[in-house]
Amino acid sequence: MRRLALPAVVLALSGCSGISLGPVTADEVLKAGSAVAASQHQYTPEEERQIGRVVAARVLGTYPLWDDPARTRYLNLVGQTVARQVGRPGTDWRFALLDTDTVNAFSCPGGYVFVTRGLFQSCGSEAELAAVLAHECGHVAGEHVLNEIKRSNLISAGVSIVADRAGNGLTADLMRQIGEKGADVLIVRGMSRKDEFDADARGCRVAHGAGYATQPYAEFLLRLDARMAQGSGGALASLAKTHPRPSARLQQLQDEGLIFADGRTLADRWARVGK
Amino acid sequence: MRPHRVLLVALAGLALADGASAARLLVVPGRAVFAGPGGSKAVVLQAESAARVEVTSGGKTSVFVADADGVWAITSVGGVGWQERRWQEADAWLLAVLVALDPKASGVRSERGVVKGYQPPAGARTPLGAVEYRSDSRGVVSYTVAGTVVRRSEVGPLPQLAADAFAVPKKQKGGLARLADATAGLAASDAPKVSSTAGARGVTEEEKKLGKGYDFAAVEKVEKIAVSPADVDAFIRAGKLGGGS
Repeated sequence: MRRLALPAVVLALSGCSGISLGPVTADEVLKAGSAVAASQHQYTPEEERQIGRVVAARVLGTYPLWDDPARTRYLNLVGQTVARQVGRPGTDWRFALLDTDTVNAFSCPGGYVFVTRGLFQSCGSEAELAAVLAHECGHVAGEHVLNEIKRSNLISAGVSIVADRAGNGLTADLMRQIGEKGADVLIVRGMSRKDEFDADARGCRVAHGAGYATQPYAEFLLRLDARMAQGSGGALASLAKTHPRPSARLQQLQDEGLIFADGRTLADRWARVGK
Repeated sequence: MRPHRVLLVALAGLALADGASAARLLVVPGRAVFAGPGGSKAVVLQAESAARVEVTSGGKTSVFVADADGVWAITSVGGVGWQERRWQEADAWLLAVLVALDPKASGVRSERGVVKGYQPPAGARTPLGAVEYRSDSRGVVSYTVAGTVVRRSEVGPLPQLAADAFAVPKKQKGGLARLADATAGLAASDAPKVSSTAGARGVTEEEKKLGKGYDFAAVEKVEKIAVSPADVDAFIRAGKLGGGS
């Protein structure tokens, strides 16, 4: 990978791209080549999990866990139901609730998925929760956060991510850089609109594949949009900052024909177990 | 000769105030209590034939059977491997089993006397109220503790359990190992917040250096959360969903 990437970098930096970058040292070329190699690296499931563990720790350093075993179990049952449709057998999916009024959900590489109490309690049926979880699984499957970390060139090619007998693995400094990058993407500025729309599309396909209707998700987005119209501060501030407007997301899903009325809603089970 | 059946309950976190360090806390015929790592304890009950424990809590009765194939929770849909069974009221259940395994109805004792409370790994200490013991002509003994009714019956006599039975009888090694495997997931199946395995590997020294902004201990809890494929299958069936494995 590194050998393939270097010529392209050399060509670009030497002015063949039409942009003059001035004198370039051999070290800079090698550094750039290494960065390109790192950005194109495909991580193993265990490496991805290790990166996700750091990002998850950063998320949990911001929002504490909501210690509710019954709802956490229900969340995991719904989550595992949709995760079976994602087609990532090497991923250990884990779903947990965060104890905050903030309405949002976060997914980290490696299958760590977090739903805030505020979002959980905003759901009106199991189908809505399933679509939310499927959306988050879509981020993981699309490697949206992982790609942001790759693009940031934090992890140089050849760095040992997973600890081995020789004691290698991520250093605290590198973990902190990864964690802050993850927090920036998840909590501060959000992912790109393209990635959010992609996760919505993946999510609706997955949720419907699991047997849920996605029409309730449309209603969920409409409710969120109505709440935001009244003011996007407070509990909705995080969502407003990190996601496209719900009405725009719904429009995209409708345009793609992903709002399905057929399927299960399971509002009764939600009312009995989840609400 | 049929192999002995051993029912092993790992009572993770059943730590006493002083964090008992003794390898063996109590040995009575048919039963022994052992200290485990991190202040945990294990209760071993050995019988010639299958042991059965019934626990009634909140109007629901749970039945456990240990046989040659392992330890099973008997549910409305059949036997479920113990490690795959989850419990909503873990603390109450642990208390109930603790009492149920008391073969002489003399109270569960440690070297400090009768256990009067249960301190889970996280959360408040649960006091263990006064226990009422009852028996009938069939030898079934029932207990009531803190509103939880426990009924216990066994088939066959309890053999003398040697002080070192937990480790020495090699002929039982396979069964013990199997049961140990089963109970390794016991705490995890009690509640998402409690587990002894499930892939978590502990917070590393490098991770500890990151400080307060990073909660790796909470990640460990999340990594211990698990629902079994069988539970997901049942959940899908109950919801008439179409996403089975």
